[in-house]
Amino acid sequence: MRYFQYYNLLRFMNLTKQGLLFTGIFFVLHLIIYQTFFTETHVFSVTPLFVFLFSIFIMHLYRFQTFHDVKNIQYQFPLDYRSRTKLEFISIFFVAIAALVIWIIFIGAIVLLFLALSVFQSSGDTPATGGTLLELVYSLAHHLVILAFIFPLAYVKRSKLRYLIASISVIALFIINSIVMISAKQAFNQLTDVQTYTSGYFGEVLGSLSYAEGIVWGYLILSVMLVVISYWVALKLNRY
Amino acid sequence: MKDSLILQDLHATLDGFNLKNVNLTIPKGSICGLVGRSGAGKTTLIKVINGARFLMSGDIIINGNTYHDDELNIRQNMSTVYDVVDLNPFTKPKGLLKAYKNNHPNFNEGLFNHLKNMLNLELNKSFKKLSLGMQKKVMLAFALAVEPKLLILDEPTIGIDVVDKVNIYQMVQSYMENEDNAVIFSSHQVDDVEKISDYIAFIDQGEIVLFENKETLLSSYVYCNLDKDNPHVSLLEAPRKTAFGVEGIMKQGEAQKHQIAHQRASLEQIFMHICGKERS
Repeated sequence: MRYFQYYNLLRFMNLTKQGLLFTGIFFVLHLIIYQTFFTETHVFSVTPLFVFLFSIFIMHLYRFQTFHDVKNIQYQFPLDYRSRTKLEFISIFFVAIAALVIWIIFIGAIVLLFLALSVFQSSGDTPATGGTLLELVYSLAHHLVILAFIFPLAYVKRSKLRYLIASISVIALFIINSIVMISAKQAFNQLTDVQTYTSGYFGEVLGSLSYAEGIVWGYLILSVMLVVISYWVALKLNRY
Repeated sequence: MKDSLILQDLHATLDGFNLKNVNLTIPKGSICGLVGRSGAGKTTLIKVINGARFLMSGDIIINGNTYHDDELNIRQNMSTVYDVVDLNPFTKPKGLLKAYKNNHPNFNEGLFNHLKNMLNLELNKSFKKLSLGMQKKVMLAFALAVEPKLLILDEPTIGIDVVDKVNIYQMVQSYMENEDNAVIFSSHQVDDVEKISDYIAFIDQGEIVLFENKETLLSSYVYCNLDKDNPHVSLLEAPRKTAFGVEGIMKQGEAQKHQIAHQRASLEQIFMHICGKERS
C-alpha cells in the first residue's frame, strides 16, 4: 500500500531533458542486443520482456532526475534514502506490469474493434507460442543482468563513470550472448546434417546444447545474485 | 538543542557554482533573511541545506540531526518553497492535497483549509493554468500545513501582489509563534527581508560575507555622504562616488568619534555597500 502512495508522488514529477541522452543511448543499445538474440525474425515486437526493458530505462530516468535535483517534490515528504531506493526498485516492476496490462488492453480493444467491423479473418494458423521455457528463462536472466547494471547508475555522481559502466554492460552482454549463441549453433549444426543453421535466434538452437539447462539456470541464479548486489550498491550510493 | 540550523565550514559545488566556507547558525525562534544579488548563490545554498548530493565538505545540522544519521527526521520536520515550482504541469493542487494527506504524517488539514481561505487558493486548476503567484501561494500553504520546525522560503514574494504579500508575512509570523520553529527567507528584495527578519545573512559569489542580528547590524552602521575632499572619506566602507561627493557606510562608533554628520543606515544601504561592488 505504501508503494501506491509513493507512486502518487512519482506522477507529480516534471520530467526534463536531464539524463535523457544516457537513457536513450543505452536503451537503444540494449534493444539492439535484444533484437539480435531474442527475436525470431529481427522484426520489432512488443513482448513482456521488451516492456520490462523499457521499464528499467524509464525508471532510470525518473531516479536519475530525482537523485540529481533536490527540488523534486519527493524531498518534501518524509522518505529517507532507504525507502526511496526500495520504492524506486519496486517501481521498475510496477511500471512493467502496468505497461503490460495497458498494452494487453490496447491490443484487446483493437482486436475487438476489428471483430466488430468484421474485418478480422482467422487465417487458421495457430499463434506463436513464444518459445521454450529455457529460452524464456535465459532471456529473463539477460534482462535481470541489465537491471543489475543499470539500477545503481542513477545514483552515480560522475557522468563518465556512468557511461563507462553502462558501456561495459553492453559489451559484456553482447559477448556472453555471442558465446552461447555460437556454441548452440555448432551443436545445432552437428545434430542436423541437412542444413547449416543461419538464423540468429536463441529459441531454435539453445536446446541443442547438451548442457543448455545448466547454462540457463546457472545464468538465472547469477543474474538474481547480481540484482541483489546491485541493490546493495545502490543503497550505498544513495545514502548520505 | 537551541539552534535550528548549523552550517559548518561548508564547501560545495553544485550546477557549476561554488559555495565557499559557509558558516551559519540560526537559533530556534528566529527568522533569517538570506540576501544576495541574483546569482549570488541563495538557491544553491538552499539546495545544499535540503540535501543536494554534491556536498563536498562541511557539516549540516538541522534540529540536531544530520542527513547521515537521521534523514527521515529532517525531511519530516522541514519544508521548502523554491523560487520556481517544479511539478508536472498537469498536476492539480487537489491531487497534491491528497498526496500530502496520505504521505505526510504531520499534515494538518484544518490549517491547510485555513490557509486556503486566507490566500484564496485555487485547487481545481492544473499548475500550468495557475499564475506564478498562485503557484507559490499553493506551495507555501502546503509547506506551512505540515507544521515544519524549519521553513525555507526561496524568493517567496516574487509574483505575489501587495495584499497577498502582507498575508504571507502574517502567516510566517503566526508560524513563528511556536518558538521551536525557524525560517530562512531568501530574497534579493532587501526591504522584504528587513520587515520580518531577526538575523541577516548577506551572500555574495557563494560566500556569506556578513551574518548578524538585524538590530545589531542596523545599529552598527551609519550612512554618510561626504564631500570628496573630506578627510574622513577613508573611514567609509566600500565608498561610492556620487554627483555630490562620496557616500558610504561607516561604523557608528567611528562617525561619533570623529563627529561626522550621519544618518541611520537602512539595510538596503548596508547591502548596497557590502554586496553592490561590480563583479569581476
